[in-house]
Amino acid sequence: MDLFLLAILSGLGAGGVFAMLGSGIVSAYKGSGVINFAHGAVAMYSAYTWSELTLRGDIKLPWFDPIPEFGFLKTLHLSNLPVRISVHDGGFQNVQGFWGTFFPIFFGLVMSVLLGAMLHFLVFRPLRNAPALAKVIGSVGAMLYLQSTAQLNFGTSLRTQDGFLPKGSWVNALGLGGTIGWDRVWVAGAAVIMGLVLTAIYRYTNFGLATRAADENEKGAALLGYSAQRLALMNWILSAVMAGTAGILFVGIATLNPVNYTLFVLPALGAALLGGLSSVALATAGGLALGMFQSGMVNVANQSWFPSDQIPPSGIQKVIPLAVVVLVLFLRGNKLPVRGSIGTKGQPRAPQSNHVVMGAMFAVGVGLFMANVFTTNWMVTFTTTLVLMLIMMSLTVLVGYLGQISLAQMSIAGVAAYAVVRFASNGEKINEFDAVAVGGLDLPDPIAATLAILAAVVIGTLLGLPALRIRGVQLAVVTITAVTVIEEFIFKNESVSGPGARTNNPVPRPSWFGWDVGIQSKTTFLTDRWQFTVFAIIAVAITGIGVANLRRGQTGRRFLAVRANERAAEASGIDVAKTKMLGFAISSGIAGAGGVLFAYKLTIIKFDNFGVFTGLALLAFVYLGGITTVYGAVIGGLLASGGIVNGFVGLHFAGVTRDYITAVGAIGLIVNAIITNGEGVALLQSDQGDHILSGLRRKREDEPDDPPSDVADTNERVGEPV
Amino acid sequence: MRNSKLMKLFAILFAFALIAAACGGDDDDNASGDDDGTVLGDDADEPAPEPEPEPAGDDGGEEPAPEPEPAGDDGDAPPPADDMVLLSDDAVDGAGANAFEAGIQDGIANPLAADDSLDPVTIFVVNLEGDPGGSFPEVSEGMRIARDFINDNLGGVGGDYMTRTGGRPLEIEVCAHLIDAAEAQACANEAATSGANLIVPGIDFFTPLMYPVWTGAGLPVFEFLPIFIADFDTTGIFALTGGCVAAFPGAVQEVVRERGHDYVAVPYSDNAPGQECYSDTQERPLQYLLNQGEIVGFKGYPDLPGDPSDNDANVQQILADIEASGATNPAIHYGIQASDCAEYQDSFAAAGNDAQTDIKIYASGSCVDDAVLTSDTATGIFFGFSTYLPEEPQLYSDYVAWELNWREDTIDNSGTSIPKSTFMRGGFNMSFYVQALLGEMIAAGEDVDDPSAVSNKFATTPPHHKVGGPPLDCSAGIDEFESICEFNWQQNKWTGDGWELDVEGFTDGSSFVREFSEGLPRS
Repeated sequence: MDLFLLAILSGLGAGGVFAMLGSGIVSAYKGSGVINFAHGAVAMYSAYTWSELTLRGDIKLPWFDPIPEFGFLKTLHLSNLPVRISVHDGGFQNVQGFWGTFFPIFFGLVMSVLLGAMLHFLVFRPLRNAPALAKVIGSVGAMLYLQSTAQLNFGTSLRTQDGFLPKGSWVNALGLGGTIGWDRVWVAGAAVIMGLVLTAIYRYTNFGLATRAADENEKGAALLGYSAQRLALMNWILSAVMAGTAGILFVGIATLNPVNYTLFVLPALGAALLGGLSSVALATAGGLALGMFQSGMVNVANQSWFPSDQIPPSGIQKVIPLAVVVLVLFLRGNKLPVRGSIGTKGQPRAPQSNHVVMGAMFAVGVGLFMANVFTTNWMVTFTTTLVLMLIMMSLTVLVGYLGQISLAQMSIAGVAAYAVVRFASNGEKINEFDAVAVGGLDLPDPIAATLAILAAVVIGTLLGLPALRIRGVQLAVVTITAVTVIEEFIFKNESVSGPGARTNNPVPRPSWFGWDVGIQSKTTFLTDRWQFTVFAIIAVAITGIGVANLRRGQTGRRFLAVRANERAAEASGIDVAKTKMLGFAISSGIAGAGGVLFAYKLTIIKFDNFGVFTGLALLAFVYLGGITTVYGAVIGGLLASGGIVNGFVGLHFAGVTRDYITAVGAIGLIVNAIITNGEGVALLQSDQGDHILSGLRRKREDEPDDPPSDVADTNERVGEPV
Repeated sequence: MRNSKLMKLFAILFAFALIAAACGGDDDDNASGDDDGTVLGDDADEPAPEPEPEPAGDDGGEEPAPEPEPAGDDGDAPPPADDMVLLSDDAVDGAGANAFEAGIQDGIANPLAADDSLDPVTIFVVNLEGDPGGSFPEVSEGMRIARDFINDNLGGVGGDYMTRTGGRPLEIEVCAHLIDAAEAQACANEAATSGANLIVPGIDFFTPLMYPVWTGAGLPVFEFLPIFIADFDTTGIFALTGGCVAAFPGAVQEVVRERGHDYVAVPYSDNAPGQECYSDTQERPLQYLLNQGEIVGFKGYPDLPGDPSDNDANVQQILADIEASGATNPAIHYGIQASDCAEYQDSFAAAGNDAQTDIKIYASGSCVDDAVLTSDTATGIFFGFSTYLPEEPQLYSDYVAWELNWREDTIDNSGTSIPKSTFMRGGFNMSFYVQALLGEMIAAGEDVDDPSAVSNKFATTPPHHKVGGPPLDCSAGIDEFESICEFNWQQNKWTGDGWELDVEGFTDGSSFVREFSEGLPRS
């Protein structure tokens, strides 16, 4: 028992960080109605600023040199945007005493202020009236931008530094017999103090009262003379300072790198939700509890009675607290605050497709031509594109048509991928060097695939249950939490996924009705067989036709009605709950089909094929392509990491670092969210095409009884892309 | 309206910027760190901190050796010039050491360029680069630095400094990819169809996915860092380093048999490579020793890499379990890597365990970096290596000291923007090893363009000189670890301001691997 309590106490440091980050998320939400997925990235950048000042005495501003020095650009000697400011040669680590400690902390926090202001002015203020999805995309874009800029400015190496907190030990802590580092206690103490200060600010100051007023009714606050945007700015800064403080304090305890600090946002979201997205005090308590509970679970998982064969130890540490959060969210869903804003932009257009079969035939023709042209690595790139298109279509249905934001579609695909391995495996090793032989049902591949897709449907529908009570960005939070739950309890669980669950899981070679559709050639051994490519083209074409027709039919119209206004949909006789569940089921089925195809393609799967960032990237690319059309999913697949366009463009960007391109791309994602509102390249492109066509038509016909051009334009827009 | 359309066009342009986000370039020159926390099982090379080395290599070999006698295929050196003082001894430093030393000395004094009119010898490198979750551009960069020296000074592959005949230029092609299975798959195909003479997986988490493509086609593969069972045990594949197989059984042997610890606690990484390394190269040898009655117990503790919330609790649990075990001489053996080592070290210190005076801690060479060593908490920890320590050349023979200094000097003078690191040195060593073996093949009239001949060369070469470490012998594979070459091992103690070499020196690690794999076969 003492050891269990000691384990709980050991979580003070992590809990303190989660508490500060959670409070910051609440603060930003109160100020602007945005759940900031980039909050961990703000902590990360501020912590890097502290680290850089300490080690080298430099400040790296949160942008990058926009003029890359490669190719002919190198010869132009253009003046570049300054990025580095040298404050003290050799770093503050060489400065003894108070100032050596004070300056890095001070400038680290100044960086937080700057980041908060940038987030407000450049991302969320322009998106203030946008739908929830655009705000989610905005924060994902901000996260990707900060992560890649940090890599550009600070490198990808891990930084392990002694922090500035006292390093002594608390011997026999609370009489439990163990020793705890005082720095952990300090972090937790700082979280509590900052939580109290923030609570007092919101409760007792005019600024706090005004923020709460705007949070509840933005219009009302505006009528009272408060500038909602000024309040939002102040809250963004407060939020960023909380994040920065957490990051800087934690450097001495946890290694700093661009990924792990960014991912602290997940438990922090849990803390914020425990605080109901409105109470800083509860978020602080929730964060501390989460960190300590996770730590305590380490002790539980180490007990002899713990069924580690059935439940991965890491699962119980990470999942139970998050599951509690989801439960709280589900139970309190209607009570969570939904910010009333002055105006909201409409949902993105979701035009129904005409000439579906013709379009599909054309696409299949192009696909078959490409399958004939491409070989070796380009064939791999092509099949990656096809698989991604298929999984992205699940987002078209769920997010584009039904308006339910899910960040877990890649995990749903993973469920089917792992399931098809289990259903099709026969307990024998597939390659001589495989680490494991997966035992399974040895079912024929079509049946195994069908059952795997059904498994995805079941899990996806279960995941949709919270959508009955919550919506918008809160649902996004639940689904991003679900990614961890699925990874820990399904993918990494040997009792579910077999002995390869936590490492490499070999996929049996698929054969459908006697047709070998395996990707690897038995003669050249390359993974470029045309049979697999044709199989994938057929799968994508059938799904594409299905999704396009779904939009044209009654179900699609119901989906759009629910997306537009749930109450109005209900009033007009639509069973909203049933419609939502149907949407989740269809979408999961599509993702499942993509997952099966993905498993066939990869030949070996691992749990990290379906991680958080993969899911976020999937949403980002389909959003760029156009979230509301099949055409958008096709474009998204082409643009995505590993996709064809990506491969071709890569040839011409060989001299530029990937982080640079990612940072530019992240800006593009934010700009797209602001300007196209999720209609993406697909509709933008067809708008431009229409514009040109209507211009040509006007010239040619030039008849006096033509309808006004913008009316014609509007009419034509309705029935566009396939 | 016009403005809005312009803005939309602008948006499209930006959208396409993301297209290239995952393409990047093969020449990703982004600065990367001295080490990375995601890689497991590196026994590869030396620790990261780099004192400025003495300029070396320029004090010898003023003139070329005149005698035109080609090196034999077993690496026999040509007779050196009368005034060329050679420090190496093939019997100690491995076959080819004399030839290597003479070649370098001559190459520095009288550079011999490769013959560009000949077809190049190509090494195709598949490597993780540009991903924040794991990026190792220093591996390919180290190989490039060595390539430049080889082509500019040593006459390429098969060049003969005595006849002043340039050989085939060495080319390094790199397919860099993110932690993305589909990208790795594309790289595997590209490598297989590139016509390269040799494929080198750098540090890669997708080798099990790639090997069927290469081994099926009978292509020669020489891997950099084995971290999966597929890396340990695939016919036709050989490894420059022992990876997990050296780092962990080597340490287990040292901990139990040389230092007499009777209980071992093993925190290990709870990810795919961590799981495979732990189960195959830590849990199995420890279970074997337990079965033999050589220890009273052991226990593994999965650690979530990059997640700080479990470190302190795991450490409390480890200390409590050790206390409850009744062991008289317990030890802690890290299966965790790089940054996780630093975090655990901090946690052990916070929990009151001093590695100097309390329970002893053993770690692999991949745990070594500046941050770890500059922290007081590292004092007293034993770090394992199968290679020489570059910052302490004076601890070794004159030849090894010369070689280490020359290598550091060459890397320092290369003008690379990527920080010098353990992995960069490993890449450097890799290029020289390949150049030596293929050069011997050419000298013996063998066809380096024949994949099976190249594979055969790697499989049959007796203990051969390798830059930066003891000789490498890939000719005597162990049944369950046939890709791993024979290796030697030592655990050196960090004293707080320097290294204290293992008094036993390098000991044979392969025998123990053979012993436990026969005593407790892989299930």
